[in-house]
Amino acid sequence: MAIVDEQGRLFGRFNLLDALLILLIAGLVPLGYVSYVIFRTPLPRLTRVEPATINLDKVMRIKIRGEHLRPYMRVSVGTHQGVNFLFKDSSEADVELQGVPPGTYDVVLYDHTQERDRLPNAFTVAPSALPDAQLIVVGTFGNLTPDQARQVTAGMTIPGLGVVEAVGRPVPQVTRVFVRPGTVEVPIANAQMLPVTLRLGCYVRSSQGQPECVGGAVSIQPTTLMFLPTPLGTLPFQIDQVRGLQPLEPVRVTVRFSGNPGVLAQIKKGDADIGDVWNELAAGATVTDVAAANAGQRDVRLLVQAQRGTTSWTYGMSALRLGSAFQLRTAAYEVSGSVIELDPLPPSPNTASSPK
Amino acid sequence: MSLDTRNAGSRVAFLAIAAGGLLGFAYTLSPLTVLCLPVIGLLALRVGRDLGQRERQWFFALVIVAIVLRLSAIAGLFLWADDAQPYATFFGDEQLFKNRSMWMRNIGMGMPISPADIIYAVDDVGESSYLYVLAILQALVGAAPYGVHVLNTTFYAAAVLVLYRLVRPAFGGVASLAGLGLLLFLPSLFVWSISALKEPLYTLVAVGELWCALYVIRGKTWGRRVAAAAGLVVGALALDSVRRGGLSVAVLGAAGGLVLGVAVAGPRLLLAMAVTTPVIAALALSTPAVQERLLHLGRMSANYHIGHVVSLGYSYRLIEPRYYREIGGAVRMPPREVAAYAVKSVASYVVQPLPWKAESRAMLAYLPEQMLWLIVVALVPIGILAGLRRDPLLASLLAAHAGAVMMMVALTSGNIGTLIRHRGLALPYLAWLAGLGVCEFVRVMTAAPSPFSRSRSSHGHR
Repeated sequence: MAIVDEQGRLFGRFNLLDALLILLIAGLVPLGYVSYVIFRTPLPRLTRVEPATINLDKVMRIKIRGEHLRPYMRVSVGTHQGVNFLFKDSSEADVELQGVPPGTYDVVLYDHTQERDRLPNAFTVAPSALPDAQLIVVGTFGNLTPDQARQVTAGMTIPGLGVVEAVGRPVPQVTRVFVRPGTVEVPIANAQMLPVTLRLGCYVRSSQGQPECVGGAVSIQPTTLMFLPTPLGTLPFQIDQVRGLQPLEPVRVTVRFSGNPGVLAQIKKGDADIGDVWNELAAGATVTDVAAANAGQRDVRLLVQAQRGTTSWTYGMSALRLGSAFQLRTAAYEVSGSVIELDPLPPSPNTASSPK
Repeated sequence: MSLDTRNAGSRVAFLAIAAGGLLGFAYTLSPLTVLCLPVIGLLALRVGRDLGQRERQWFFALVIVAIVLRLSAIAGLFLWADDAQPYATFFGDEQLFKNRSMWMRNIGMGMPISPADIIYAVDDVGESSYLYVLAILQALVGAAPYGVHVLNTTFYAAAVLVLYRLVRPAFGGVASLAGLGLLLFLPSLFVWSISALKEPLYTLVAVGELWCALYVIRGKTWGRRVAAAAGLVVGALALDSVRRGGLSVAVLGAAGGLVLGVAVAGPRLLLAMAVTTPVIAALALSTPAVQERLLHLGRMSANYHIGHVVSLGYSYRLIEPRYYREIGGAVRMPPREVAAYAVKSVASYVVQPLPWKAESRAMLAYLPEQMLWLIVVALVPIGILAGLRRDPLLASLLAAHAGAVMMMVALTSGNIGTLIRHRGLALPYLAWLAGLGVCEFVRVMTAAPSPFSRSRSSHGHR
């Protein structure tokens, strides 16, 4: 029997063209499978992040481990995009992170178009290697209506941050704006600001080697403007003075001021040191007595609200010792001198006790 | 029903299933290829339908070879892809279009993308309606990093075929085949036409706009003319959305072409125009507001030129060296220097890159095409004169559009690579005029009687 007969049938049974078509289609299946195996780009996968917890820093470097990683991929922690993706091989890459605040985040892997894999809650930025701290911060809530000002009372909590310890009297709103090299006061019409003392929680971080305390994502410093989530809504809060938790204690100080006799003649009993910014709740000093020493000199006795430090009294963020410099600033004048008497003297360092 | 009839029926069904299976297999591999290739095929059949046998053979040979070469190049790109990159590209700029259109698609479909990509997806730089076209298509057929090249091949081929259809009745078979060959096989146009850049879509929209401009006058009924006018407006806006400056090209090209075309058709009108145009131009140029506007335009163009010169790549300089050092200094450029810059920029548009200043192998490789470009430029005036005798309106529209694109590109260029790429925007207009120029040149050289002298215009094929 002929393989292909006169009617074009294979072995007398199948039409040759039909048989070829069947073979072609049957051949497409393995061809398709082989093509799929060869050309398929395997989906990338994350397996872990090292370290899983890292202390907050300006630049944080983490190692991503996974499968089928590619050089063009990217990683984010939460919504914070990694600065780079330093590809080592298909199972490992380094990623640098900047500006990621403390918290626990998903680690997300992207290719050139979309998200490909995610490790839920796999990475934590710890605020600091040190335990949380607290500071006393004197400042003003701003942009208040009279009604809002009345609602701010001692004991009001600021969720996640701290508590109001003391409240002063409302005054017209003036915001200090940083303008190099100093600050400019910007009055705001129809708004009040309210002096308050807050006990704020913060964590210590190293900023280029300098320790600073961070609360509400900002470094706590005089003039810093924060936006605090209060029960009255988010309120601007500008810092005037920052202190430790030690209580304020009255210290009698005698300061010998030198300078222009005309300026020194302005010093009189009852004058109050207002420091850089006046705030009725800020720790200050009051003149209790003035005596002429020599020509161009005045010995002035002051009652200072100081804090007991480990090595000395602290006033206005400076050490208060015999011989240390002292500035007296009022609305009318500013004079400089040095401390000549201190009562009581601070305890010696080896007998200093912890803050109460 | 007889046994034979039943067998025939089942065989047809079997073949249909087999064809469907093959088509599905191909569609799975590359949806855009399956969708685009029939478009080119159907369009080529439609355009070549009324051609004579010999001309039809040449026409299909050119089109088929051009498409096969392009598909081969795209397949090569696919096969040469590097694992370290998500996909291969012919040029670096293509990545912007491929990635950004995918980001836009993913945002539109609610698929999470990298936070940084969200910023780049909505960046003003590189904004073009072409990105939306790609995003929508990829939303419909899936990611198509290589299919985009086939799509652009289709855009470009469609534009060239439509143009061929438009010019063939007026310019004749040989001139049209010459233009077709130039547009399909000029190396730089070949490369741009298979790229993922926006040039192919721009060319297609520009051809649509030219078609509408032509039928504003040539429409057989008022309804068609109004429809063509509406199409002209839409086309001009679409052109501008693909590439900034497209609106100016469309307005100058359509207005200039229509006015010149109508004027050339009537000798009295032409005479009146020849007299009034210089007067109107002189009056306009003596008006302070016009002077100020032109000066501003010239200074802004010089700023663009500076930007191109100081960017990466090979460039050419046209103004005082101090302007390249001082950022924004061109805004104080005196009128005399602005005028000199305008003249030099047009001359540079034609002659750059200068052969004796070729600084790279790529530039040396381009020199043969540069020679061809100079020949095209030399033939265009001959083609315009011949075209004005054959079909004043079409020739005027082609010349005016080419002039508008050339001015736009010439005044803002400074980088040689970008100039070569953007010069390709004028070639779809110039190629046909150059083709006609060749025919006219050969005719004059051989002293053959002009086929145009007996009949002014023949709008039918053959």
